[in-house]
Amino acid sequence: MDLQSVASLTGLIIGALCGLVPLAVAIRKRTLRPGILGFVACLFSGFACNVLGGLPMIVLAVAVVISYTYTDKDDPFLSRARLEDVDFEETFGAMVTRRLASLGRTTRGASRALVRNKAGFLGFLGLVFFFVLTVFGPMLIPYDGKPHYYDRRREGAISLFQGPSAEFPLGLDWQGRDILSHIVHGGRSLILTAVQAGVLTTIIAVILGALSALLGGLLDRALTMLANFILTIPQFPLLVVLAGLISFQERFYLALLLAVLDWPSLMRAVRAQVLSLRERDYVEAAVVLDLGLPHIMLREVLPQMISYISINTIFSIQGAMYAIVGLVFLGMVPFTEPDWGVMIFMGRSQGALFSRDAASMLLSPVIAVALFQLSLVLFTRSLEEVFNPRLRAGL
Amino acid sequence: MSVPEQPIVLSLQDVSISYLAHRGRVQAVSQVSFDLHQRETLALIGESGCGKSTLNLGIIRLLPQTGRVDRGKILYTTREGQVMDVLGLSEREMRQFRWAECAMIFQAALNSLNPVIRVRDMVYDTAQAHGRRDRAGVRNRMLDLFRKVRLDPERVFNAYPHELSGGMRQRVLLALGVLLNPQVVILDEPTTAVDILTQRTILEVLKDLREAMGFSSIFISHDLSIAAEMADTVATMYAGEIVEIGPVNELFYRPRHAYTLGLLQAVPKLSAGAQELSSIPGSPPDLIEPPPGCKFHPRCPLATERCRREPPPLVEEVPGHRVACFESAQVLAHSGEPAEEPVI
Amino acid sequence: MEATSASPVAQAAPSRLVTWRRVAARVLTGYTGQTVLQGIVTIWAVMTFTFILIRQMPSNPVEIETERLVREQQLSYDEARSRAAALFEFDPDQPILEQYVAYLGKLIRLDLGKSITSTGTQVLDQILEYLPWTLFSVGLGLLISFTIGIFVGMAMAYWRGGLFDNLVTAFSSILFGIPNYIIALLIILILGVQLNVFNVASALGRVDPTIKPGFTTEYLGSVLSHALLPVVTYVSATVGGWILTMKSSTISTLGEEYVTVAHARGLPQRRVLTAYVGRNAMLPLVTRLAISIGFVVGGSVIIEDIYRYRGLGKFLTTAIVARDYTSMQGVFLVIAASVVVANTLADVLYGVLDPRVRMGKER
Repeated sequence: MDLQSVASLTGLIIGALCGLVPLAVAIRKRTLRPGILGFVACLFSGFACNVLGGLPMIVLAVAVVISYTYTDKDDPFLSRARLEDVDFEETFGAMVTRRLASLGRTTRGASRALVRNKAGFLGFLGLVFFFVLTVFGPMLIPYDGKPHYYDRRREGAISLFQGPSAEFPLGLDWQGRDILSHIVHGGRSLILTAVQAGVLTTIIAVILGALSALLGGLLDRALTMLANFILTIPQFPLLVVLAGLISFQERFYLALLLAVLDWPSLMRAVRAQVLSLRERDYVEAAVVLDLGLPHIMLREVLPQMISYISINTIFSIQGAMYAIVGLVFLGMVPFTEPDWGVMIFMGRSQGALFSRDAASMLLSPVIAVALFQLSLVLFTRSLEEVFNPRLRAGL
Repeated sequence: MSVPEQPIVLSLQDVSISYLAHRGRVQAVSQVSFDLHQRETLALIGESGCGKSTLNLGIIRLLPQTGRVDRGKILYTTREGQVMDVLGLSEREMRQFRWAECAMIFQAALNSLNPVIRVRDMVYDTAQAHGRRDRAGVRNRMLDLFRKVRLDPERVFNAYPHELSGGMRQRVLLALGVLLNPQVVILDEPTTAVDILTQRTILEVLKDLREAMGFSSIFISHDLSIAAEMADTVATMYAGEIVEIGPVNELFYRPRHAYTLGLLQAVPKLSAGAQELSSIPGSPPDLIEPPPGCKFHPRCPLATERCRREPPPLVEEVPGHRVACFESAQVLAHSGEPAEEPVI
Repeated sequence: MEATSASPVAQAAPSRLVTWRRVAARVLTGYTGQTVLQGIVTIWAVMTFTFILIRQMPSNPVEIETERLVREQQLSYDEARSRAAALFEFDPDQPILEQYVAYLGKLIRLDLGKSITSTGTQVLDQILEYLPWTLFSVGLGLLISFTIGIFVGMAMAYWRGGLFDNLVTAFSSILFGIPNYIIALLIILILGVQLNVFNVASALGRVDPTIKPGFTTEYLGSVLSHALLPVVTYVSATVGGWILTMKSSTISTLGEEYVTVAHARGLPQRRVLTAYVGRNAMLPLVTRLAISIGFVVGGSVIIEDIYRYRGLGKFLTTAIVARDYTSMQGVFLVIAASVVVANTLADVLYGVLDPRVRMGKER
């Protein structure tokens, strides 16, 4: 997943094209406001992520638009139609519309829940801020990569460091380069790798955990032993050893490695939950009805756990970022500039720790990492709200 | 069982309790008044949510933070004859009052016992909290009580709660309740959550204890047959108010409130043939904005225009039998019928 | 009755053997036996795994020393190599299996081998030199964090919704989100350099090297003052988690019926707090604590690096960079062993505290 080509003008055009779809649907349904909202959303995500962002957003935006105007005429509970009048055969188009409408309603409910929790919303804003910074920032602020040994040096200064000034809001680093540009450009690969690691961890852990619990037997015992084994080894030292072992040209492999070390704890929790759910009545009913393993997993068991899993994903991302920055900081991973971790490392080795001028070089990436982690943690509070229907009802 | 001649132990006077909810103040209990005499068992009957449990929690002042007793007096007379208003006691005095003077046995004791300590520790805890430090004496008394409630004394005394079944835990709580020889025992649906055989045992045990120790009790149930078996006086509660209260036989054979009549008729009779079950249509009213007039009128088949406008006062129509209904005469007339068809 | 022909000794011997066999069988299949066995197997597996793994790392001590000699003393490669090989008791060409067997042999005698790069020193001695410092700093941090977490968490549950609750929740979430080494850097940067609350240069390290070690107040004072920053860092990074967990655990315990019944029984607030609410709310935290203790030994590699605190973590990173295989293995082994022991203790501890669990195990 290479995002090098993000935030380009082609993305803007793609976004605009995608946005026409929900707008058209809205005009047909005679509600203008959700249509405009959908258009803007598609525009934004297309701009940010090209086709990858535009297409899914079409679906989401159309769903939201439909949900505004959809009345389920055939639902006997909502429309108070008499049972005799309800027709349970529905066309494919009607089914798609119904599904989209329910997706739209869920999205709107989720976004309401998102806003309701102040702390969570703050975290969400923080994440949005970093998203904008790392995706759109590079368009505005060019990367200052070459050292400026002479042209920026101040009179009588002993080093190339400079504190914040009007021209360089975050000052200059040890090679006289603009720190702000490094911050803007240096977050992307870090955040991307951390997110990849978190998502991979979740996927591996959920699949292994559910399989282990549902299938039992030898597979279960083997996986549990493996999980316990991995948990016994101290993670970070092992990571350091492995980092020396594998050369990380492709950051994706680093993410994979982190996922391989991180899955056991979530897997054990998933396994425990599925085991306890397996005894529940509705799961037994599904088994008796012979509904098949994938169905049981996806429709009966997982929805119960989605809150726990998604919160855990955020924590995995947080842990992955801790590990990556830590590895870079200790000098165990080859450097690829620009990178916040590299900035911290260079700052320390170039003595920025003790010099007042150079403080910005160290403080900026440190605060950037801190704020990002903080946003992640605060965001989990919103996730709690979104996924816990009891909380959502305001009880 | 002529009880009213006995001295009064507990007297509730115009007690009202409310909760603070999102939408407003919920009037859970309104102007409840009754007198509990020595050795009297009062049964409180009503639907779920009619305020029975709230009333009991109010008596021992363990309402949740959102609840408060708006007004009223709860007068308690100790064995020495001293009268005090429970609502005016300090926190320390309340702690002495609870369990030693008035014990409350909660419903479904499945989770009423601390899972990490043994039964005997809980017993010693309770005793010590009320100043009885003689461990040996307490132990003997407890074992004796366990025998009375038909439990294996030694085993249960040293057991952890999870080693006992639900019915056993209920009996432990009963025994613990009478350990300090309280004058009033409040039982919140003691038989609802257990199977019918255990139910029988618990009722037998209750009767034995009552006979031996002579306490008064307030018995909450929604099972009319149990109320009929155990109680001397029965009170029906609806929407937080007592709508009828009187001696058990009076109430069951000559009810004077439409709600009581409805409850009685909802019980399927063995003697009748196969007939459609009757019940009271509708559901309990909203306690934040209750209906005007008599709170039962939307569901009452005998409601008149007056019922819709004025709340009926609780009047003593027959000595010892009070009812809050304008149409009590009609109700009495209906209750006499052998009811081939359900009246309501 | 006539005495049997067999002598008493001959009769006693076989029956004693039978008894031993029976005891051994019961121990090995019993719950404790199983756990211990599992622990040993785990430790062995970790040891083998790391053994193989670290030898896959590119380069080895001899290579590093060879390169250094070539670079600094301008020797020819072969000369440097032979000198390096003679320096270390390590033959890089020896097949792995032989190395493994030799290592196992030493291990059985509880000999962790000699450090490859610090020639002559026993790995065990080196570990014992660094381990106590890590145990002290991280362990103290864990203990303080746990204790604060328990009390503050419980207080917050009791005074829910108040100013105290909201403030501390916000504060904990913020602290909990930031990685511990970031906190360390911020402490040094902001408090040390910018605000000059303390002198950074003298705060680093684990003790003032000019003071003679011993049980004097001067030495102990220096130890404590140098451990202050790492401990503060550890506590800040973890206390948020303990507080929030204890708070939610207490809230759910407060909702349990037995607490209401306890109040209905007229028990004093103090007793309810300790034996009824406290003991039950603490249960999930105690297991977490026991397991965390296992990871104390590993310390925090990064924090020790930042504060130049010479503990086990620092020892490990140095060994990794120098490819000192035996030292690395030694440290990994010690960490794995302590994690296993801590996990077992956690199980036992939970059984002691929660009698409901005990029953299941004895089956």
